Amino acid sequence: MHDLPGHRAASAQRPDDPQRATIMEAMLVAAGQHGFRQVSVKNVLELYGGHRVQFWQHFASKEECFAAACASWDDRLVAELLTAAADRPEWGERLRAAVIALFEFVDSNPEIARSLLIEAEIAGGEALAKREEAVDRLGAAIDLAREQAAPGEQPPPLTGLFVAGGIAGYVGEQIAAGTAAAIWEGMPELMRFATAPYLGEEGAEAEFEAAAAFVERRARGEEKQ
Amino acid sequence: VSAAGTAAVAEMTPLRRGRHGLPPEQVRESQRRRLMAAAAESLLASGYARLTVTEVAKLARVSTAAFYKSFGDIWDCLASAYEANAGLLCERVEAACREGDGGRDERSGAAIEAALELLAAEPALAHLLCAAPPAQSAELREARGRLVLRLSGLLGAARQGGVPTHHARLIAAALGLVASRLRAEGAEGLGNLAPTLTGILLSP
Repeated sequence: MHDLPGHRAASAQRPDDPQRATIMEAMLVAAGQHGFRQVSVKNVLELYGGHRVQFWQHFASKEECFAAACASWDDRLVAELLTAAADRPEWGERLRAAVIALFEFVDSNPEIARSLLIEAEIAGGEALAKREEAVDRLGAAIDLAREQAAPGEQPPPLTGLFVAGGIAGYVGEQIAAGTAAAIWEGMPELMRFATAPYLGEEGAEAEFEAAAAFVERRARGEEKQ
Repeated sequence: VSAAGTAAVAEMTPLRRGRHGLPPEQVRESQRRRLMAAAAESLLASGYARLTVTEVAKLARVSTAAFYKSFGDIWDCLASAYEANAGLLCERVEAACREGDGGRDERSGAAIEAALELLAAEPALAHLLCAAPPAQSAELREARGRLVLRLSGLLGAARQGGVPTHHARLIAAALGLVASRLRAEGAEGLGNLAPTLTGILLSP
């Protein structure tokens, strides 16, 4: 790895620096296209369109840039999912809204989604730690359903993490298999999986049906695409 | 060191140098087994990002030329290691389901504990089998798909019905949770997952 210590401008250290943000986005897109192992700073610069010096002003290595980009976009994605869920009255609806927001993110940003959900695991280190932190946060939000369960009927510890990780795993599998376009087809089964530990068999079946109805409406163009 | 751990170390032990009188097929098989064990150990130590043929061959005490006589590339080696270790895990689970005391639920719970015991004793095996495989290796993804399918068949039998795709999703999530806890707490903590996995996997 080429580390060019150099002199970094004070503005380059700011997370909200627009040039830094553009380079980070280009890194995620490039890593999503080439895979983290293969992607090079040259690939990033080709997408970014700027001069290589600008990259090294902001980052000491490919790894540092990728980790910073994952941190920024993981935060953004978690915020989007929680916002999508926030105004729904019932827990099942909130979870469905968050899953829909996640799938829409994948539709709109396929390379970035691949970087966050697959390549971060390949990169390891800070990028993976940030991904795990994002899954932890979503798992904690999912696990709020525990409060509604009757004493003695609460799911076991770590259920939120199990569910959030399972949802992320499903999306990662679809992207890795090159079937991300068909990601919606699995939504009803995913909702059954995600809700069964909290709602039981009957409640999970209802969530399966609600998701299946949504997917049908979406296929007919009655839901936004 | 556990019995399983001892077995893994033995896999890595090279044949003694010089004339040992072993037929070439046996030498090749020994190298192949060592390379697969080294690939799993190297993956745990370095991660997918820094995994190389050179490092794996060095750890297995085999030349890179010998590596390429056994495997096409690093992914081929990892996929072979995955298949072998997945077989080992499934055999443990199947044995616990078949031979354990008590009713179906008790034997299923014992099978989950047996799986976690093996994974805790063999962190390299746990990481290889449970961490999400890279998109670029279709072989590894297919090997993982076969493991999920085999375990979800056992889960379906334990749950006495249900939807196979639901069982597959539960198994995939269980593997993911093991990988996550392995990274967060190390292999020693994996045994603590038994109540969570038993509660989630075996509930209707």
